[in-house]
Amino acid sequence: MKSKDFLLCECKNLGLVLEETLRYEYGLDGSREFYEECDARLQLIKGELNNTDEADSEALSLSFYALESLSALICRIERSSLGEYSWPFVEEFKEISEAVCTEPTSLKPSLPPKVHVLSEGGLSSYQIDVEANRSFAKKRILTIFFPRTLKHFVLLHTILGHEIGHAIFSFPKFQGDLTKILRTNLIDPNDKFCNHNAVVDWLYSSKAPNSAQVYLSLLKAEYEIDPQNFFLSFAEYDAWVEEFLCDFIGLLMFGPSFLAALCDLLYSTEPSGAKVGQEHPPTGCRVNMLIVAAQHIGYDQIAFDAETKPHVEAFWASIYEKRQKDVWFDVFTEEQIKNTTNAIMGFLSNHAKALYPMPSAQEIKPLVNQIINQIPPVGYRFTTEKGPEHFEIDFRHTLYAGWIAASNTQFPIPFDTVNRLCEHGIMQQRAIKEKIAYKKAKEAKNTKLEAKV
Amino acid sequence: MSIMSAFRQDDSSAMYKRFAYLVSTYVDQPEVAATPAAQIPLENIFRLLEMYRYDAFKDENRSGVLASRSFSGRNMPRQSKAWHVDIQQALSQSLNNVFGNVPSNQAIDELEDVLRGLANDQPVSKQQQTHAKDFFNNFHQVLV
Repeated sequence: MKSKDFLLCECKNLGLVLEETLRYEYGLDGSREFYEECDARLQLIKGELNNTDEADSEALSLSFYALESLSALICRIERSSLGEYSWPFVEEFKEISEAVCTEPTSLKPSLPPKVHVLSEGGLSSYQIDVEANRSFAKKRILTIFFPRTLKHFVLLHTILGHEIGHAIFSFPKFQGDLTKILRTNLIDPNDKFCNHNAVVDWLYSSKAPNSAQVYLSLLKAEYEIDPQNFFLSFAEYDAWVEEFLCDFIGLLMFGPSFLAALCDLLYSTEPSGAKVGQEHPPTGCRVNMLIVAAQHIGYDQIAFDAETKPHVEAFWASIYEKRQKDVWFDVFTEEQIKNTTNAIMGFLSNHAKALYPMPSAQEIKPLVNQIINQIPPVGYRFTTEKGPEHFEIDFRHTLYAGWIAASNTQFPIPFDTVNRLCEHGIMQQRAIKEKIAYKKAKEAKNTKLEAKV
Repeated sequence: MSIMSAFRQDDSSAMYKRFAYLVSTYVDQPEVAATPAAQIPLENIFRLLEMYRYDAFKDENRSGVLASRSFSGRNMPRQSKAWHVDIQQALSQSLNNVFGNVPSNQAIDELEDVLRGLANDQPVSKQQQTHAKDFFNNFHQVLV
């Protein structure tokens, strides 16, 4: 069989797989839009192959890789139907991601992406995959990955705030805006991060902690990575800068819960906080930077009463103990961090639901108490005048209350139990939200009818 | 171990060259442009123009927040230049060739209007059609 015939045969196979997997109603939103998108891609590839000369290896290769990624996508969508993830969290998170990842397209002035979700093995599977700008795609598909083992650990899922930052950054207009913000406020005025040489000087300085020096000497001994070729052969400067940006976005989107999840997850994989990755700067620098930003926003300044205060203090103490004491980790000045926080806050405030609303003690306290009493935390109160009342609560407040309850030392609750309670709370809160929306719509309809009469 | 060790060369230029050609043919065939498959080249060229407008060409797939892929020292060789350098140059040249002194944002607005018109099966003026066709043909020729 010739290459072209083989690829056309694979198109036919993929068409059958598409029929088998996506013509059924998979997932909460159904699969029709996914089906139409994948079918359009397949039709284009097939059309291109039919018009390709058998000897044109470049064009055949282009179609081969387009088929490969379409095949992988369809199989991923099929797997997402297994539903092995926390769907109450996902439903809330989807609302945020669709609001912030809406972009202008040739079809519509603003079009949200299609989102699908699946679980993967390994803690490192937390990820949001956004299809590249240059791809055989009409509508962008966003895939959110959760670690299978952490299915119900909604408190840790706040780490996805960082990942959504990468998704936002992939849209050209946002990339332009955010690059400007970052360069003006954080990178250009900074003496340690303003360019490759400055980073290398800081990283390889004699003041670096021992763990960093040992790691760098290992890179030298085993892979011949040294200050001269560090950014040529090993790390990606732009990727490091993007990591800082996404940390800011995660913090502003999920508040203190994000900071707590980041500390737990990142230090669990690299306890020293000093190692560098090809795409990631040292964890310790990221955590220290975020603590300054959180303090600047004032998350730790909310005044709680004597009953809740010790729990909140225990939470913040657990965060502050993750702060690296060695000043080598403090790469950005307080002023640079404050300015960047303010500027990104301004950017996110243009997107509905993107910013974590500053919580009040009155909102958080009852949720914490419910969790401590092992009750799913929801917007509920009972008064003698009105009887039982339900009200809306942002799911991110539920998560913050979860972290506070998990940190309390007076009435210790296992971390997995707190997560399960919060997951149930978010699910019940969704029902409350729908009930309130239904009631409001009914009232509006009645008012309209009355006005007509 | 995988059965093949494919080394995928960057094919962005080839892809955009092909899409530019297809889009130039859609200008004369609006009925084809409105089909779902044709919307893929239209949308890709639209995104490319947006990347150019905002000088926002970072378009790589990244690993997740905890990704700790070990560095083997045998990773893919780094490209000698970024994927977009030739494409960006070709866009600048074609904008200059077709639109002359018109500010690039204005030219891009006009091209995007044509792409929107084609994608949504809406009328596009004769002058805009001519400009768009000239531009996409020129871009197709200039891009190596």
